[in-house]
Amino acid sequence: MTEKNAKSVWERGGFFLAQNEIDPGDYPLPDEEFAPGEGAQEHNSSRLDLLSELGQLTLPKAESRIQVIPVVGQVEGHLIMPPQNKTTKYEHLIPQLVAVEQSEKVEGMLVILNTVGGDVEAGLAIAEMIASLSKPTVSLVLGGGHSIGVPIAVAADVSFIAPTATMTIHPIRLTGMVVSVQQNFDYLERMQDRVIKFITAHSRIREEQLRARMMRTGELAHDIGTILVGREAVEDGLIDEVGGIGAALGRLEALITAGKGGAAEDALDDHAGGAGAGGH
Amino acid sequence: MLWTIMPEELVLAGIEEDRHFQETFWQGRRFLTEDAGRGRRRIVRLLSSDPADYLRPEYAPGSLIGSFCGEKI
Repeated sequence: MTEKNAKSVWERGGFFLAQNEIDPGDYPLPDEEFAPGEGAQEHNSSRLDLLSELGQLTLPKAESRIQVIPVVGQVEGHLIMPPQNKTTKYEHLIPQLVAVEQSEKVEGMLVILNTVGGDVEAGLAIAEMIASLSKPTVSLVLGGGHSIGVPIAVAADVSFIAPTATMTIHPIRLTGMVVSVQQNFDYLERMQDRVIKFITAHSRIREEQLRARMMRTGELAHDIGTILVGREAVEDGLIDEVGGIGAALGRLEALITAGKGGAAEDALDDHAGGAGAGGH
Repeated sequence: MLWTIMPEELVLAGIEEDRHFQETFWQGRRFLTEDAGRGRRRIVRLLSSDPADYLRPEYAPGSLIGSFCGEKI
């Protein structure tokens, strides 16, 4: 696509460009066929056709300043889940998080959770990525944030939980198997410790209290553990606030603005110090 | 290691079934795809080192190759 062509197209639709200031060359239309290597020439002519026939242009939107990352279903790990599962694929999510970190246009990220848990390592990988993002992040637990969903939820700068959402705190187990050897048991303990350390480092809950929640009998039918509903997760110190999408987005906007103001060090603090949580 | 509240037999039902994956080239990128019937391919995974590619909805796992009809964002 030549520069000259680009200008004539955008001049005709000039009043749209004022909002976006996007180089149209960055956003070619998807190919009609599978054929790779179809040139930009084809793209440009189909967009000109669109303009002349319908008097409108397909507008490439600016990349949104707030990206939303949904974490749903099973967190898929090293095994591809059978298709009846809804999955969160970490191999797709993690490069997305890299793109969020790198992009100049993206200013903040909202993580929305409704997950039943899943692979421990993949879940921790996602949680560590979220925690180490330099841009403001807010998480919102809707529906459920169970098992490995807990570290992912607390990894964000500020976490929210909907009043009816639940989080199940239960130990890592080998499902249905008797732990046969001391090494197996020790391995599970080490995995458990990994997760507990992450959760306590990114929330206000104390380690003894978290372990007590994990080991409570009488609540779960086939396991030991605790079900926390909405406000209970906040009272325990796991999640920062009860709220919904409005509250979560409002807080994200506030973090973004504070960050730009330069005085945002305490707003973006780790929860270990309780500074962010104590602020409200 | 699966840490979930869903029972194992429900999560892993059907895991023995063969799913035939193939590498496909499209728009200059490599994808792992599976057959979606009637000659179409469904994306299972995007294999790209450019993080910006992962933000494009037409490359998301589960989409059919070439079928994204919306605006590019």
